[in-house]
Amino acid sequence: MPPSVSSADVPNRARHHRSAWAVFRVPLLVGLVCTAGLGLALVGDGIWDGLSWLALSLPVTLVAFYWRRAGRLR
Amino acid sequence: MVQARTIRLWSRIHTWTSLVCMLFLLMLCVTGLPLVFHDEIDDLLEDEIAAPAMPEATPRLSLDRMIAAAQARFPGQYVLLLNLKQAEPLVTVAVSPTAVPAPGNFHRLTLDARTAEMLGEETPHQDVMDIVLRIHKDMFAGLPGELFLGAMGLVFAASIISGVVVYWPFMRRLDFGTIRRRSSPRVKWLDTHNLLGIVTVTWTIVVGLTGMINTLATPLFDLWRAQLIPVLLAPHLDKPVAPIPSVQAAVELVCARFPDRLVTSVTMPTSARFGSPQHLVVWTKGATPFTARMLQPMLVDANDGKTIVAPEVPWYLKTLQVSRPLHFGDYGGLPLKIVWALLDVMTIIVLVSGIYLWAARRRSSARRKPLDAGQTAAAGV
Repeated sequence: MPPSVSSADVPNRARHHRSAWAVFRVPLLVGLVCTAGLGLALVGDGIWDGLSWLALSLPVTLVAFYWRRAGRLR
Repeated sequence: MVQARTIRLWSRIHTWTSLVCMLFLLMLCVTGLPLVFHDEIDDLLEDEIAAPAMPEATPRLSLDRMIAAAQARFPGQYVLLLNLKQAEPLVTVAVSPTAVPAPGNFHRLTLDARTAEMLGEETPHQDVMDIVLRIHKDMFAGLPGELFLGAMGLVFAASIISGVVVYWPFMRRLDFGTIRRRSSPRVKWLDTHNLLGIVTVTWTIVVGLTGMINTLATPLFDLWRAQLIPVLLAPHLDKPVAPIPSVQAAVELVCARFPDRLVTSVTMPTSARFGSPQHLVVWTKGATPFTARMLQPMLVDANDGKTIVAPEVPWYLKTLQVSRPLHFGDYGGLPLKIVWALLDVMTIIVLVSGIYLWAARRRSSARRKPLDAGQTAAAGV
């Protein structure tokens, strides 16, 4: 899934349209991790809280990562 | 082409549902940000009352002494409720000049549970955070305001779902996480809107829907009360509000009958809607993080001080109780609150970039209308 550098800037018209599965598999995974994160802190303290912090930081981390990468490609 | 038409329809749903709830959601996100850190800000602004140091095993006085002390401080006024602090040997007592308290118009006394010494007295007042909370909760419009914001929450949910649907046509040619920063500002913000929107979907849906459930708290609680109280009060018809019986005895009785539950507060017999005129309501919580969210009232007959009714909390109030922490983000320590705030800021960026994209499209489609209005609409930005 890691996107190639050349396609990051301009949509690749030669490439076939992605299926819904290809478009949604990463968001789905993020959603599942976040759901787990929301639930984990509810069931226990200590380690459960820690896991919940990690899981719910995923969206923040992803955005920071992709934003920085887009900046480097400038 | 059917598919293009479907996409256009979803795109239009996304645009209009978002526009309808946009202003209110921005308000909710902005006021929600300080509210996440409510406890921390309160600690900073107000001097926390601490119990003076005493030997560990110093016994606590009877709770009846606390009530007597509050009555001595405000003779002739009505003691409404008593809160037992879990972490410290402190008891707070709420006293009101009227039998049915006006909102916010009561004194809160903090007493040392071991000496019944008055440690603090909070006069009725509103601080900054109370005002922020009122704006966030009902915009100072009471129940109608609350229900209106709940409806906005539903519209927001529709906007999120339609947003997920239109994510697909936009991302068919792009890799996940693509941000075309070198392109026009509109393309850059479109990519940002898409990325931030899609990764925060779970959180926004959960916080949005639990917020909506919270707006139903008052009607739901009234519904339960309407089902429960008349049955309990049938034997006491036409009696005046019962005098306060021994609270200590009632709490001990509840603790003996339900040893796994912690008593958090006691509501005195009252004609106000938060209690019963013929019962002490002893509120208890469980000991695990999850069951601690599940408050269970035990009603102790105020006339004989013995009969306990432990009514089954209906599913809709249990749902409400679980939805509270999921909305507030206050169930996993300070790091969870920080994550909550970051996700809130990301949501604000999604909202603002959404408005920008809508305005930018209107401007450009107005310019290009004679040429290819249809094509722009099909792109559905």
